Amino acid sequence: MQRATTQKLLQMDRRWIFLMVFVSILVARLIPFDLPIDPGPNVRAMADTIREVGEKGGRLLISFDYEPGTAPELDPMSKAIMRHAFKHGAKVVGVTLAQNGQDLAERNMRFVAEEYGKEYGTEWAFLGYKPGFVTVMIGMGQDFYSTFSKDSEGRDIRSIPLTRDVHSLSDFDYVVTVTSNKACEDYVIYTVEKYKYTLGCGVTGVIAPDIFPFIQTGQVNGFLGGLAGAAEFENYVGETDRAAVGMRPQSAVHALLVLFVLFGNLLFFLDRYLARRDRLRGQA
Amino acid sequence: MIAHEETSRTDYFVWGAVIALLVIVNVGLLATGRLPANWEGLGIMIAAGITIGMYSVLYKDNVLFKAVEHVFIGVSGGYMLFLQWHNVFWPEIIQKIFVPEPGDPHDFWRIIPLVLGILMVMRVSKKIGWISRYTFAWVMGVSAGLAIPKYMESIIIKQTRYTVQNPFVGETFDIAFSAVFLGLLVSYIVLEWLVFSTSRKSWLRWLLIVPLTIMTYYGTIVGMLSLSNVIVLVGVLSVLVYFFFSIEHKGPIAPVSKMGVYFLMISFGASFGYTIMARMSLFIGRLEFLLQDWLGVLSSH
Repeated sequence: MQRATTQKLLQMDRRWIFLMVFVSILVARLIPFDLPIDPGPNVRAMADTIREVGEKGGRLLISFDYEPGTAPELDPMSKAIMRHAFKHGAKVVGVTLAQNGQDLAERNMRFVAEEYGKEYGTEWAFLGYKPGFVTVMIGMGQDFYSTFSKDSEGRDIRSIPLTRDVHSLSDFDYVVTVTSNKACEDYVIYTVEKYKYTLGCGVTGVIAPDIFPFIQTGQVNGFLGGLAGAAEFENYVGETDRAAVGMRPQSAVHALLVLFVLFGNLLFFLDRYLARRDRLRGQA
Repeated sequence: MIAHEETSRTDYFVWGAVIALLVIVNVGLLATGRLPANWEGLGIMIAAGITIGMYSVLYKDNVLFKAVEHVFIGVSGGYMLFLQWHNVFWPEIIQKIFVPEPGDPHDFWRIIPLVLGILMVMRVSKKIGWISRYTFAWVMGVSAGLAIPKYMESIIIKQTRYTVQNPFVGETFDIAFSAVFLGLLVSYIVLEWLVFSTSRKSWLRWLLIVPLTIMTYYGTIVGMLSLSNVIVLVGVLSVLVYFFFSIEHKGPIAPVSKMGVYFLMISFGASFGYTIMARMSLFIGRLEFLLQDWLGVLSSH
């Protein structure tokens, strides 16, 4: 083999890689096939907690802390969580700390609530957005009413049966943040220890590794990381939807990237070997 | 930032063909009734065009990409301004101070953050920009006051406490497994320090690294708590040693520091893998929008 060949392959136009990624995703999305998706302990913990909350008719707070930019990754997650909660009879209150995510969160909540025929005010409520992020989290712990005194349509939350007696985060049986930012970490740091409630986090893949230390300490009791986490959750609760479907192209492209990494390394070492061989031949 | 690339006549032809194709496809979709001829349909067509325009940069920097990039920045800026007014400035400031709802008192305390906010905007002036420092000092003070005790409590104390867990918990097999793992690990550090670093037969270290890797893999698969506790403890200590620069990394410190590097590399690898998954999820989402919502050639399952 000539070194020119390895050099040529190592300097391949990156657009070929883009094209191959595109084709692999397209093919894997168009041709249906099943993949084993095993739910991990963190996914099971969140699903089980939501089921237990639902079975005792408890109240769940979902903080939709993401914006449209990360919706393809987090929408399937938040919908799966809401479906599971409604299916088991949990009452769901929604808030958002992401300004651009307000409409998205409300639309998703309304969509899933209508799917399960849930009544606004007694079975679900959406309190909208409040600016301040960390101060809003602390405010929800200290005095929920002074932070969210009205729902997204301007109704006093004391006139809504579901939120009438909510004074603090600890009045919720379970709090889940679905987030593309530092919300999970900030909920842990600023509120979990002080207001003593159970927190679950569903996050984008980018920030998933940052959350693992909080699982070890029990500060986060359930965790979904990226589309894979959402797919595991869907699979565990038996409601496969977009996340599970999205894992097909996801897995295909991951397999392709592993091949690229192996191929690149192989070429690198081969090129190094050929360079040394040529040098020795030149000396001889 | 994208480097400037020469635009050839072929490129102009390609961009022209892409735009023409977009127009033809949209007209076809409207004519066949696949897209509704209303605002929703228009929204989908614009979103599809912008998506394709954004991804066209993967081929080459081009005028279509530049156009949609500028539209995106402009629309985002305008939208954020509207949201700030609608969600923050009007309901939280103006309404609460000057035009409260019937039954609510005027909340004049809010004038203080309003004034602090105005002071922050003074930064745009070279002459009186120094005034903004008062607001920044306030923000820094409040943030530090809020964060420091909470970080101490939730991050440092709690994390430290859970780093040092009993490594010998669970079934007898788990305890024995963890003990063997720890023994191999200590042997590796000692041999790396005394033998492998100076010996010509440094490949011998793989006789320890390979079983350690296999044991880690097995322990992770079966979810062995005892092994997890050992790995957390060793990982934290070795990474701390790696970042301890006050002593030279030689002698027994060198292999521990090296192990810290391995732990860091594994952590970066995990982050990279998750990041790829996140980026691909976004791309898959856009592709599904194009194939499902726009072209209607894909089912949802």
